[in-house]
Amino acid sequence: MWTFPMGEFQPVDLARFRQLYAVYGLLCLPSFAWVADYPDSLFAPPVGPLGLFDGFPSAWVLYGLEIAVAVCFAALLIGVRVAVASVAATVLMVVGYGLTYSLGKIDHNILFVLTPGMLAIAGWSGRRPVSQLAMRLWAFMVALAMLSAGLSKAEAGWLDPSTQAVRGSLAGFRHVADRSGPLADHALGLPDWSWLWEPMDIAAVTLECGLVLVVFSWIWFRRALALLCVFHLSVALMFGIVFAVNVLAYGAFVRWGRVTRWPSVAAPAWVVPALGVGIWGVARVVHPEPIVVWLVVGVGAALGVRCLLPGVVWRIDAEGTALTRR
Amino acid sequence: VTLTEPNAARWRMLRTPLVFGAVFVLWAVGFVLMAGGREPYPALIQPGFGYVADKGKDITWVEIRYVVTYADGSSQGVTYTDLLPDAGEKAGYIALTLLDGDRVDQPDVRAWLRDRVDRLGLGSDPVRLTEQRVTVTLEGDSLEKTYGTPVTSADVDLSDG
Repeated sequence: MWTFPMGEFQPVDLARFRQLYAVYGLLCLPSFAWVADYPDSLFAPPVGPLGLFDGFPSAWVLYGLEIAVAVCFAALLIGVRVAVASVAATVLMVVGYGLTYSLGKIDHNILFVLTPGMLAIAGWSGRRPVSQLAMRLWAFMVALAMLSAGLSKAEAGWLDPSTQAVRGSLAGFRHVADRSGPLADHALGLPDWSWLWEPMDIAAVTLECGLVLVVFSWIWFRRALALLCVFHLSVALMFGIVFAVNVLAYGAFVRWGRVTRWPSVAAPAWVVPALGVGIWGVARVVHPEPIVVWLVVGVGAALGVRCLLPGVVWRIDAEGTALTRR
Repeated sequence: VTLTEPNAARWRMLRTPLVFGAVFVLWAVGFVLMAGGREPYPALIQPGFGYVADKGKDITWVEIRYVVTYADGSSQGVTYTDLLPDAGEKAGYIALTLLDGDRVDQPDVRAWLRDRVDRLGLGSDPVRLTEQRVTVTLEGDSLEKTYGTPVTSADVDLSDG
């Protein structure tokens, strides 16, 4: 009763995704040290393990955290001590990000943060069979996270036909918060007709709440993630919120072994700390993140559209059926 | 601990629903805390963007501003991005609670604010930082923006900071 169709993910799928994740992580390394400048009286940790701290650590401790995360990403890229590096990356990011969130604003990159820990359990080293159950659990967790967003919107009145939540949020972001994407003005130039804007409110809530309903079907779950990738691109283009971390996290469910081939990275273990520290130093000067996040969201949406094209969906269905029968 | 075969079989059968159930319970607890205004971290929560505009009605927003007063009586307006440049896009959110409660009376906060104001290089000898909340209104149809009267929400003495 509690078994699911097996054989969906192969070790090569997760191993290639691990490399993609590591490359993104190294290009968009987290920054924690800035928070050391703030006084301890402003330290207000969110409910959870950050309550164990009674103030902001010194800058050197936070620089150390940043470097340790970079070394973990380097280890994930090269495939050295993958299990240890994965768990360490998740724990270090929870602590580092959590300290910055103790100023009162939580960024919702939790799927990116939990990805290494969960996929280490699933077996993204590529050296052992993938735990299909762990992948299904991770899918369930992703769906629950999206459900929290959908339920919050529904509770706030997004499904009420008399409200225009997307338009209201867009206007607020554009004209008050002074934050917007390249299509914000074009979108706000559209007439304020309910039949035009309300479907966007309903679509956002349906998509975010509906993911949990398809979590036990890889085919439908992937289709829903493909739609979400398009959703994230439209949010980026209108709101200027480029949520690349989620698009990257959805990548765990792509069978990368079927999509394309690229050479595996192989280097001796001693390269890992040098690579991590070197890239950390360069990243603090160059800051490639603004370009990388748009690239991830754009490529994610393109892959999503490709997945949703009728012919491709049929082919994926057929492959899925063949795999289940095998 | 070694499980006997029947117990091991029972554990294998229950393991999956137990793990999924535990994750669901943890998520539900986090969601309830978040709904109550005490968002936990880490938690499986994504942003709701609950900002809703009633059709045809105005959209209101609260904006934080600061005014620095100098010893010579002159004053200078400062934005939250000026004061919190290292916080990036989070600055606006952090500013909403930055000087809440008794924080303005804490010596380390006053010294830190004094240092931040000094770094702006707008004048010498700042004596006071005033936080103001301004209600911004967007007219629902035309999206024209109007600002309300600034209301002082915190006053920080920087003179001995």
